[in-house]
Amino acid sequence: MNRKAIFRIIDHGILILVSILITIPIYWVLKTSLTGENLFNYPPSLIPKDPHIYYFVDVYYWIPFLRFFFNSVFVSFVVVVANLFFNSMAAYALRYSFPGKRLVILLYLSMMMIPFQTTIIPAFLLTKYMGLLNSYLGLAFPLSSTIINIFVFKAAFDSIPGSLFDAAVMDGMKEQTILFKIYLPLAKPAIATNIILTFVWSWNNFIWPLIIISEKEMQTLPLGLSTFLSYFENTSGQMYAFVIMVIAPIILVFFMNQRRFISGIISGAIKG
Amino acid sequence: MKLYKYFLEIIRHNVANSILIILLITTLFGWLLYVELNTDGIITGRVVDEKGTPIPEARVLIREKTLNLIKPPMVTETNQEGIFVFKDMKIIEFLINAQKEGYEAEEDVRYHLYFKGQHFTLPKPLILKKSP
Repeated sequence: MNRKAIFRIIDHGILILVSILITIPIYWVLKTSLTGENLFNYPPSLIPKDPHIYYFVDVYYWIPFLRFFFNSVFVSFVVVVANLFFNSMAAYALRYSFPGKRLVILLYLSMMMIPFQTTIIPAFLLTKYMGLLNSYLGLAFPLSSTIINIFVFKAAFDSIPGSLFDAAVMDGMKEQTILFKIYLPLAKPAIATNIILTFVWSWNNFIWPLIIISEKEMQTLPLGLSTFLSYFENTSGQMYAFVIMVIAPIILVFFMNQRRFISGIISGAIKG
Repeated sequence: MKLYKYFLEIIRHNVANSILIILLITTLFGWLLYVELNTDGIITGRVVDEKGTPIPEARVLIREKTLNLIKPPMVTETNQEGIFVFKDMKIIEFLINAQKEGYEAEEDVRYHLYFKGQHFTLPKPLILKKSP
């Protein structure tokens, strides 16, 4: 066996080990949601005993799951659409050379380094003055445009030949037509990346809804999880079943766009 | 017609995703149909003695169990064939037992349903032992 083959085996061995390590907690959550077996049971067992879906039924009836689910889906949808719209336009504008372009990019980059927690109070006050507390728009507002996704679009647009743009201008196309009819159809991986990233961020968002939502019927799923935790004690099965119900849509969205997502991330990495 | 062709084109380019979505939607509608056809809220079963003989006029108590409390019991009686029927039961989890004079008190049996109002027949009869 040559050296190359040995390294390959070691590489794959490490990858398999890491994959198992990453998968175990997810498997554990799934197993507990089906058996209710506490995490601290000794001896731990890998194979579920007497699995059933009753904990999922309990969750469905014990919290307004459909309402929370609808809230999360609707807010995520608004966030995704807003991001696609604003980010693509911002990235398109950055295609041009204009005075202060470097400054704008530097400003974007520097703002990426400010954690959201530090801007929560001004963001809350702004939302309050706009009368958007306890509203879907208020929930979606801070995530409506994200800088990292602007750069994902910028990287995708930079890879489109300039001659295509020149030809479109010569044909008399308007800016918005060039963006929506030429650039966006050629940037499908960037669109998929935008969809997945913003969907996941919005779906998992906990702090912002916690701050601006006080009405029960406007809560999203992560908030529902927190109230669920405070309601019941020692109900591992129901709790883990709820976790599975919260993460399942994200996993579904990821698997459906996986190929494009990865190519979008890679293009961002090499062009960024 | 144009929209129809557009959707066909999407399905042609995303076969795996389309199959997944169709499967999910079919399962969901299948489940909703099943729920719709089985929501009469009837819980039924039999009460027998150790030999399997039906016990008529036995009191059957059913108590709804929630995650944090057990509600007061609802009571019915068995007929001549030892069969009991509870109607309009919009519950998920319950404890059930049967009582009759001359028979020993038995422990509650716990059942969990898949949805509220599910038509449910106890898989095993409730067994009462004669008092010594």
